[in-house]
Amino acid sequence: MRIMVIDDDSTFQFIFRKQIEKIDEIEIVNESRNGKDAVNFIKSLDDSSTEKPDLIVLDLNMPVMDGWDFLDEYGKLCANGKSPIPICILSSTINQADFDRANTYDSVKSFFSKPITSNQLKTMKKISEIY
Amino acid sequence: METTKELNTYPDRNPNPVMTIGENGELVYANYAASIMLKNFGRNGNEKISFPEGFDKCVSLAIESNEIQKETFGISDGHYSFNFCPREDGRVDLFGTNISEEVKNETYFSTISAFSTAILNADTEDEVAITITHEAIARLSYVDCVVYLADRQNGTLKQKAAHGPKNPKSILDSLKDPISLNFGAGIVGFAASEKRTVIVKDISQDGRYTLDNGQRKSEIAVPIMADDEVIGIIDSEHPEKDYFTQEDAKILESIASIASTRIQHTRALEETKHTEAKYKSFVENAFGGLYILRNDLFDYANDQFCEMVGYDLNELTVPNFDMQKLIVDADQKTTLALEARKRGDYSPKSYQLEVKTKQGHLRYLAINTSVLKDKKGYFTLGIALDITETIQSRHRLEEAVESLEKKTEELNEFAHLASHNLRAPVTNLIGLLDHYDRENPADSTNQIILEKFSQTVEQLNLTLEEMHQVLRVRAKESIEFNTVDLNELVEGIKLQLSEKIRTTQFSIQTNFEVNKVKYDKAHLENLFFNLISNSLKYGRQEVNPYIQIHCSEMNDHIRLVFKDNGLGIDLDKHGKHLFGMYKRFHDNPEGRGVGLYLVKRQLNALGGTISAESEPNLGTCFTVFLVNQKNLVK
Repeated sequence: MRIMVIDDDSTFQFIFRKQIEKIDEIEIVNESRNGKDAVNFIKSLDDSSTEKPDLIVLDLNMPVMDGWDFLDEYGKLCANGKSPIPICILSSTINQADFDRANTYDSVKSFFSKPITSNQLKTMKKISEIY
Repeated sequence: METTKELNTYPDRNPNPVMTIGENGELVYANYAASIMLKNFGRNGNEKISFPEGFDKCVSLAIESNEIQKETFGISDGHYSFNFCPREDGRVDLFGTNISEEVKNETYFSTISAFSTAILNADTEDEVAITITHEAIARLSYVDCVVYLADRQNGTLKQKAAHGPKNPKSILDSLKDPISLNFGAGIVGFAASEKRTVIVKDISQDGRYTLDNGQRKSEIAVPIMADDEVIGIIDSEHPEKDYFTQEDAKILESIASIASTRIQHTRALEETKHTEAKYKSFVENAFGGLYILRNDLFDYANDQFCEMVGYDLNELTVPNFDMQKLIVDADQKTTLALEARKRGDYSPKSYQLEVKTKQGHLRYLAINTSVLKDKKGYFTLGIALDITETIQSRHRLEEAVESLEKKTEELNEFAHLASHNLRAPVTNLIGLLDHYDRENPADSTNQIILEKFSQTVEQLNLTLEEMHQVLRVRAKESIEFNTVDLNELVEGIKLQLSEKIRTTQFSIQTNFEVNKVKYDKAHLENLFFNLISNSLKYGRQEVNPYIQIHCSEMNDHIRLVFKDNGLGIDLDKHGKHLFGMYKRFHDNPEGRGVGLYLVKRQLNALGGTISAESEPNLGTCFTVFLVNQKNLVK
């Protein structure tokens, strides 16, 4: 499974990489520091690309373009023909309003709060397989 | 005898006096009536007749003019009218008529008329009483007259006016020590209880006479009646016995009747005045504002209403008074009430009006209106209460609630952000510890983990420090206004940021029209530090980065402009979050998303504002307005 991680926190990226290394068949194909970089990366892909992720792991609170703006931009890309990729939100927030808002996006398949456990990573894998 | 023959032709039996006066003024002939008259006049048959004064003159005039002369004479106890008819032989015939009755009637009517005029000029019942006593002495030749008026509350008769020995000099003075009588007591009391005129011919023979000094011999007491009730007594006494006649009774009864009418009238007037005064006082004091509208225009307004709206009555009641000038805002209820009135719905209405006074102040009035009708047609009676204070208190309360709600919301937001910003580093620390290889401390990954651990702890520390700052700003810790030298302030900041300024070749250009500002120094330092360090952080290296700071004084404000040529911010996208907490717009690890939030909070706390204009890749310009403190030092 190929994963794309969008998060500005380099320490989190480091920890996440370490967690992924322990699970077979999961590979990080892109690490973006904000939504804007992520949109640019996705735009550059075509469907046959070997870098095309099976799952996007998205943080919410980021500079330049935050998770919400990314979801809006990504929605536009899909509307314009990009084949949709399931998204899991992974954030430090525990605000109910954020959970509710995330639910309004079709592309968001699941919402996890940091820190993430190995079992949750396995759930993510299953999600990518279902969609 | 020739004379006798002549005399025989005259009607001796004529009941009116007939006489002939000779050429030498002697009485040639007198019929029986004339003889009685002349005898009564006090002269006997053969004596030379002494005629009343003026008789001779009339005889002479008749002869000289050869025309009939007419004249009236009071002779003995009667009045006579005579025609003096001149004859060819030089004699004068006199034909007289007894007019005593006519004269008496005329006297009566002129007396009553004079009384009436005087009484009708009296404005109060006391004046009526005084007038009666005065006129009785002057016109009826009484030596004494007293008027008593009934005290309706305790059933007594009280002397209201006396003219005579008791008040010899005073004519229109009320009595200083008035006598009070019970009904039935004395002759006055008797007349009052009997409700009829009483004439006492000889007081000494009358047991009812109990008062006064006994120098009086006869008395008359006439009740003043109103609706079969005695409201007063006219009383007169005289030192002669049997002085008062039925004529006196007739005159005094007429006067009593006129007096009654006048007294009742003055009482009604007084009552009306009293009622009016009570009503006026009620209108003026009890209601607050009161007004009357006719055809949508002011017809009347009391002092309180005039005061409420700041216009005087003359200004309100001009026919072209513009109501729109007065009514600022008619709420829905008011509009409905006014429209209902137009449809002819005359039921009472209550509503609230926002009015603008002549002086331009806004006031809130609670209005209650009723539609009434008088001989001029329908009119609206409005009662207005000034509820400005109440409404303002309510507004203040609403503002306070709103402010409280906003603060609560901000605190909730803060709590969420704080929790998020604490959770993120803490979960990282846990994550890092999970991957730390305790068996091989020297492992290269362990070194990275320790490095990251250290960075995260530092981040955590910063977060805690920021939260402390935010809370401090919210708590509005002691504000102190000092004179701050802007040049010194900027120099201090340059020193703090010197390393970065040097490496980026950043330039700070100042243009201070005002360089000394009275303000809280910590706030001002924070403002300058944040805006300068932001420009430094987000400068573009391809241009020579700079910030230009301009300070000027504008009326009540100090205007500060911070303009840079840095990266800029896409305000269309991020404008609404620009001053939000933990909002970052550039991927720069130094940006924590707290600086602008704090700057805005601090400015707002002291009544200042901040706004931004920006173009990505061109630069940003922040404009700040500070409230100019009174003791501003240039």
